Amino acid sequence: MRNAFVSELLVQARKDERIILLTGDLGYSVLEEFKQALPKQFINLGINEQSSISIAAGMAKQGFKPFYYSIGNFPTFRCLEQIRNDVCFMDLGVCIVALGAGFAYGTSGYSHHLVEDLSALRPISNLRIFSPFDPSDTKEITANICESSRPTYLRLGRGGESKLSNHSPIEKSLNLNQNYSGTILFTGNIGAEAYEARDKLANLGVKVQIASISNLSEISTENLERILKLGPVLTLEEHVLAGGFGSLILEKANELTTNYRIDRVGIMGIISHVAGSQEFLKRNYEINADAIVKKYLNVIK
Amino acid sequence: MKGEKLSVGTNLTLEAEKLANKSRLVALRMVNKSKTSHIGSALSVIDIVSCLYVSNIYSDSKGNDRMRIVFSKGHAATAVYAVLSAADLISEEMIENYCNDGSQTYGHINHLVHESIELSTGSLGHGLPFGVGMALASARLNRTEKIVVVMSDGECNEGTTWESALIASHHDLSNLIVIIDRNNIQSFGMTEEVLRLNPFVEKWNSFGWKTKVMNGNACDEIMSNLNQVSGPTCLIAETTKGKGVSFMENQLAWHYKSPSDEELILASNEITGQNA
Repeated sequence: MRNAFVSELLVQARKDERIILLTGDLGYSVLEEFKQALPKQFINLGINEQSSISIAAGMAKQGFKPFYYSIGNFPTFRCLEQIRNDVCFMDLGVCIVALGAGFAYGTSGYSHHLVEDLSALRPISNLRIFSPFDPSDTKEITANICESSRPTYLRLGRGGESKLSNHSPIEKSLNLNQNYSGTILFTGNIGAEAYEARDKLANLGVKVQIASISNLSEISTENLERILKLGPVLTLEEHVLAGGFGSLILEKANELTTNYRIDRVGIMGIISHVAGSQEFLKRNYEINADAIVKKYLNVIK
Repeated sequence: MKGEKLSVGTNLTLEAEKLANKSRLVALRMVNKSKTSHIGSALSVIDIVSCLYVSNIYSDSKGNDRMRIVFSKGHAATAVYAVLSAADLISEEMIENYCNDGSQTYGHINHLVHESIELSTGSLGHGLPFGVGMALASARLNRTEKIVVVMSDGECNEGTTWESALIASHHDLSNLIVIIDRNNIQSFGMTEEVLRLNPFVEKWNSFGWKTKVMNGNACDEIMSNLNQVSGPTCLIAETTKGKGVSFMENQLAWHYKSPSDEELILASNEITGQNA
């Protein structure tokens, strides 16, 4: 997904010299092409996230469209106040790009696990939050972000994510089958687990639809309502449950209707100090396909 | 003063001094009426603010670039609002409504109060990196404007100060000027007792800045330094907290207290007496 982001940003930046890519000393083997192609639209600021967010805001004040690129909790938790006060409250068009959503940097350990960011950022007013589900979605969203100039957070995986092209992104048209038992609603590339769960459930004779939400700030209430009316919904995120994507859906559902059944799959809490591959951690924290199948069967029982 | 054509023969120092004294009276009134904090902090920096505004008004009348100002010391809001009012740049109503329900003029600096305010502040350590960003952008756009960041000395405890100092120097931001209101008192003690900044000049120099010490309550020194600098420059403005009112000077308490009606009269008399 990071390559999809960078290549699209390069396309856009060639057309728009206001776009400037700022990095917190990261991007080895990812950002070289951009840097070489557009050296005037690239700055490695060094390792100083708090200052860098304020710097990005200052550049936006002067008419630039800064993208601040870093990993995990560095461009988020480390500089939350700057995002809140200098970007969002000032309504400046900075895009904060965080790589490593969920356990993408699994073996790097907890410092690099990006699993509480949605909860931390959702309360901040005037921040658009995007969580694309695959490289293609990333490309489209990146182009979209470049076209406007608003405070934005872009949550990306890492590299090598699978293409997910057989589900209903809620921002597009929803093809819901009335005969299906319910819906798995996901955000981000964890959707790959939902695809696998769908297949496993199908083998057990259970048909489930899959939908996704990539724009967490402007949710189509019409489409959400359609999903809720159809049957039980199981939300899925590579993120903690507290205040995350599932919580957001519960909040929205509550506004729309009193008749819904929503269950949530996500990280209950980080209770151990283990690390490992993304696959291992998803299994360990019960957010992989098997866990989804188990939970879903429980819901429709 | 708004729109006033300060001509070649105008004594800018005198204009700044007049503005500062007028502003002191407004700031005292505001704090007395609203019973809020930070008058000591405002009075130490008000001469600097006055000089910046007089400088810009003069630049405007000559068709030159004005300085873009970031008031990182957000709690000195009354200083900025008072100067804006005394220079006829905002309405009397905005002053009367200071800290009233629904007011845009509240206890820390709000960029919506006037276009000359670049950033809403209140949390220390945000203004300098923001100014660095503006300066970086400005340089890339080949603009000739200067970016001025007004900070407090206590604020220099914040890490972003030093991150920004490194960045500004590394990127040779000659269009950036920092003015530090060095009143030696922060919010729960003297700066040198809480977290030692001295040797302060040497610190900024070692980060690659041009550093100069000046009397931050003397308009002639401030004006003369504003004219000469090419950055990144740090002007350490030695000031007195509560400057202008004898019983407020150098007292931590006046970071918090608001003057009573009697104290307001005493303070105002001192200031107009100084002018006489």
